[in-house]
Amino acid sequence: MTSKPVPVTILTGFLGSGKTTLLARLLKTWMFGRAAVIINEFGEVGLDHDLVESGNENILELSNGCLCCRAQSDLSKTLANLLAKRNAGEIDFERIVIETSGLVDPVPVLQMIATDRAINERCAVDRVITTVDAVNISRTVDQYGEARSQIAFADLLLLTKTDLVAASDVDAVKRRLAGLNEFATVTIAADWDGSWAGHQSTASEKSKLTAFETEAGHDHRFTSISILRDRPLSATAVLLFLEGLVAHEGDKLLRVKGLVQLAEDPERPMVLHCVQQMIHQPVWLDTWPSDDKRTRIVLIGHGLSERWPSLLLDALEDEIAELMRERQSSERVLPTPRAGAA
Amino acid sequence: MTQRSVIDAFAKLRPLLDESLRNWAVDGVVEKDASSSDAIVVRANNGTQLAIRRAPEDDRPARWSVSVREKDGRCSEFMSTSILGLMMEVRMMLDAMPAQVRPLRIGSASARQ
Repeated sequence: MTSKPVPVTILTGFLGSGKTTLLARLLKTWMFGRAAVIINEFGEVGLDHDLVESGNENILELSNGCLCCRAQSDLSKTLANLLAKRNAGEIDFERIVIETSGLVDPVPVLQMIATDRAINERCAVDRVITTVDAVNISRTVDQYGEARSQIAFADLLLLTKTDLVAASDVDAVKRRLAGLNEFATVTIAADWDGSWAGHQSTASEKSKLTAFETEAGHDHRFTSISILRDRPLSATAVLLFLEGLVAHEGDKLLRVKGLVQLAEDPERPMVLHCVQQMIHQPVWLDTWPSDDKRTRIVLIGHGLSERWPSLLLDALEDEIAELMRERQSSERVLPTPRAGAA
Repeated sequence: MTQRSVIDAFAKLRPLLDESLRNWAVDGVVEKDASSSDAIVVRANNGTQLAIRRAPEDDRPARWSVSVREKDGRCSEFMSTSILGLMMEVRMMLDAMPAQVRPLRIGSASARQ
């Protein structure tokens, strides 16, 4: 008897477009609740698996590489390993979700699953979901072939951050997306409940793959820089750091994300999200996702200086510490008000 | 301002300026001022020279004082209240500003909906 192939959902979208946020939400729905998840991140320090907060033990991380370039090896091995463990009864899942890094061209990933016999006999891609940042889409699509490819291969395009743009801008984004992929369903991410009702599948769209594959390609200008700090940072230093980073490296910067240990509240990590020049209102987690309470900040861009961001943060930390010391010493020398003094 | 804190401040500022010159594609060097231990000098190959010192405490909130000799020989001086302000002024003096300085925008909504 041939068992039914495990459905694989590819979750893609450019840097900072909300993939991890969406994934965290999806894993709480009935359809994705029993999914095994493979998370691919660009950069040496992986953060997304810490941000998903699902309680799902079947989350695997493929860090420090572009999945599209390593698809034939790492992803193939990871999928084969997952399926073998499932067969052996060691883990259980009904679906696999592959969250790609924001810089991945999905074509090689789709190709690998479609052509690797050891994989395609046991699983099949059912949907490609692409998150689209309504704020930055125009610039991103103009500049990055990966972003165009992610949109062109989507079955479902989920618009994020629509609350940050005018309704007329959302309509303009939809028109732009229709120009890149007229077959995909376009939905506001916040309105999507995780069901497939009304959304077409990849199976009917395989012809797109061959039509587009020669055009798509991965751009290797991207760099990722990781900043680790053992000591808590002051909130002021973090804000000034972002300001300086955007002012001096703004043209090269695509994404900043991080888990930050703030001196003001060290037991609650601050989740930092910055996309191009916009910092999103930070979120505080109730607890650290693991015993590792170090600050981890990842910067992704093209042509970013490797040392400059870290040196800037060091200098700002020192400056803030000096200001604090001066303030404390000036408070010490202030005369105590006398009781009853006017 | 103690001698110790001046040394500490320069220990962090000098590599930052060094890297900044590279980052801004400015040909030049960052070095200790030969004539005074309380300054570092940025010497651009186009002739601009900046001497950066800690501002005297009487000048608070200014924290940095910069003497500039521009490529046409004109001299000027400015004060800065922070490292970020100092970096921006230095970059401007070195004619290395980007075509557009992008301000940090703060989104009104959280990225985690």
